[in-house]
Amino acid sequence: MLSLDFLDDVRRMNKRQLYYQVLNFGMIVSSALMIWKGLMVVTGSESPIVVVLSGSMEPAFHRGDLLFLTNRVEDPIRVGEIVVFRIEGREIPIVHRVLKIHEKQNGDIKFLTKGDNNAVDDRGLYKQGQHWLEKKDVVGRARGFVPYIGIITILMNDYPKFKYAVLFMLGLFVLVHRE
Amino acid sequence: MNTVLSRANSLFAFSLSVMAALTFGCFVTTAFKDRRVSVDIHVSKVMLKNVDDFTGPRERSDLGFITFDISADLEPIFDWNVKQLFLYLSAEYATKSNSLNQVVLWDRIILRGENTKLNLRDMKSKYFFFDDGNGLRANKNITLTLSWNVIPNAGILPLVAGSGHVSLPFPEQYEATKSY
Repeated sequence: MLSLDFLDDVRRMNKRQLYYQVLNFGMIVSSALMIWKGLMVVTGSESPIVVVLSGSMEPAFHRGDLLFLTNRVEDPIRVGEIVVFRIEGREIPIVHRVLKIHEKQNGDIKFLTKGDNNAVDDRGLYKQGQHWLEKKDVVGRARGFVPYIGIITILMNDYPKFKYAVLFMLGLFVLVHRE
Repeated sequence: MNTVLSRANSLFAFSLSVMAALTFGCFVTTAFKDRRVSVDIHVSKVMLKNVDDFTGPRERSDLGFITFDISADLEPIFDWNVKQLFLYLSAEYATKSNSLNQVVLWDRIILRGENTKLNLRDMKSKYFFFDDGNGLRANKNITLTLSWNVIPNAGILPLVAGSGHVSLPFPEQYEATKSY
């Protein structure tokens, strides 16, 4: 059965192979980190891939959809674009569409957003007394989209035991498996 | 391949790879398509008021009212990778205090399968056309454009402007009537 097989494998490994497995594990983790940081540089966004958390952009995006963001300075913010932004003091990013922009000669821009599925604009969501968003609040502009895949992230957030179980199994598998 | 678990495992892995390939195929086959269509916009009435901006910062700002007609045939845009179109009519203009202003006046969602021929007459704007200040009065050039955001089943989210926009001037005087 499964448990006897893997115990045999562990007994057969000597110290060197154990170190090799641990190094292998470290290599995988650092490659993943490198790819993520590389994406951050290329797209200019601090969070180049986000999961849609609410239903305020239905029927375009549903909870669990994955969005690819860019935040390059040369790309100006224009109406109709889908922006992901954070309100000062809150950490949850919001995915909504730009409704109105007013841009000055020197590039300073203030804009208003609204969710497709909401009846009113987002002024009710902003901080008390805040009427506009600025470039600094923007995490990125949505450029690409893949449906459903982000459900895993939502499941892991809603059921933390599930997340720990998955991470534990993954770690165990990589450490013990020979290939 | 002789336990239920290993069979289920291979089945799961196979269906996952097939779905990933299909999704990538959807994206790659429509990534470079031209999604522009010609659009006909006509403005029948323009009115201007100057009131406190009740939608936000409570300063006296110019409030514009535009009644418009739109005709367009959006049929050629839809294909196997278009889930919906988000249409929006935007007004673009420049004022003394802001070099670029864009305001969305009206929007609509068209899902795949719905009627794609637009023939709208005497439409009023959905959102209040407030300026950031008093820059609409005697403004010679407000450009109305109909654009759309193509939402695919999987892939790129482009913003496309319809060819065919209309420019109009705003009146020199404010309307004194109380009605909106």
